[in-house]
Amino acid sequence: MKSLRTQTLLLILLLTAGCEPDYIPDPVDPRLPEFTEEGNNEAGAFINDDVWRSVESLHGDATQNLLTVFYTDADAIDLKFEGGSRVFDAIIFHLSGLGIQNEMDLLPLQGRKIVLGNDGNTGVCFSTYCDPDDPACRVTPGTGQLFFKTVKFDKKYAEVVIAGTFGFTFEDASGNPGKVTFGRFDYRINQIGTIP
Amino acid sequence: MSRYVLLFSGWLLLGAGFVSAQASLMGGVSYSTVRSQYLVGKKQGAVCWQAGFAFLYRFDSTARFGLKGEFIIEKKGYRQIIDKRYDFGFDYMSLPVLLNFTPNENYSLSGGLSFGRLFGTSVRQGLDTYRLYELGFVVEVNLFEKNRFGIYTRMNQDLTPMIHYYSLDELGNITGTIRDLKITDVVLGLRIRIPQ
Repeated sequence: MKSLRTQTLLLILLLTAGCEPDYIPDPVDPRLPEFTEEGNNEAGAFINDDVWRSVESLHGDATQNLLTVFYTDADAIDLKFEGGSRVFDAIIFHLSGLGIQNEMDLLPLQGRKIVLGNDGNTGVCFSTYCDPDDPACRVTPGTGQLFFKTVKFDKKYAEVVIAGTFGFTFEDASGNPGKVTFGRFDYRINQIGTIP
Repeated sequence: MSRYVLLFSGWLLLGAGFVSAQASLMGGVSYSTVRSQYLVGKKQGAVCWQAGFAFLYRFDSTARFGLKGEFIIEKKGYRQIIDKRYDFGFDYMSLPVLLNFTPNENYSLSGGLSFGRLFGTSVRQGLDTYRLYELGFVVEVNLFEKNRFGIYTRMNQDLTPMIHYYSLDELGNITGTIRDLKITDVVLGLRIRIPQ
């Protein structure tokens, strides 16, 4: 009986052993990451039906920030989601008038839907290898929304978790309409400007 | 409720062990498929397996009718083909409780409910994504019932969905809850009767 118990435990261990993949697939459409609210540092969307997903490193072995939050002027921040698809790399949200001075000021965004294309709030996507100031690369933002479903402070790691969804339209440099759909994000922020 | 169901099933197995129940080991290969309204892409089945033991207690003088309790470790899964192949595997500990009818010494029929607990998945954080407890329906045919070695074939049908997940529209609005994914598996296995 002891032998059988040991063998059963070993069998259970074997079944559950092994490396966990880094990616959490959506249970319905595994091309995108699952929509989670735990600070898993993942994001995904469809850009013109191409899959866009957040990445861990952009250049060689160097680890780049997945999410960069930086001030663009006195009362505006940009949220830059690093990622990649066939054509576009990053998705950037420019948010104005939210009174965000530090990462704790993000907490009131809990449950808030920000309309893009209004009041200076925009969403665009562009290629990292293309200068956004170059007219040949300029993307014109359209309309849409950014939804902060969960914004919470993780006391254990002293980090703010932001998780939500997004979708918006845009026009590429050639004037072709584009759309970003079924977007989801789940990030941790320990201070404005960097992530852990 | 699931905890009490598992406790009851455990009691049934234990109780059967103390009366003149027929014990046997069982194991086999299964083909597992998924029923879903929402999964994207093409669905394919997966070859899986199960192993465990059973107690059969006959409670009538003709020994035709009985109650069978089982303890099974089993793997279920399926595949999705979209841009590439995505494999999903689920490890369950199951406690089927079946009514058994033996019309003659050549075969018997069993049917009843199976209570399962998910303890491992092939996807990261799968135990947070998929529902931990399941209820299924089992029908089984046993051949060479009276012999030491027998063959069984069974069909397990999930009655409860594996996911409760957000339904998103293109803009990222949460439009409802998806209750979906039910696995069906067909097993062909070997049964070894343990001499009393």
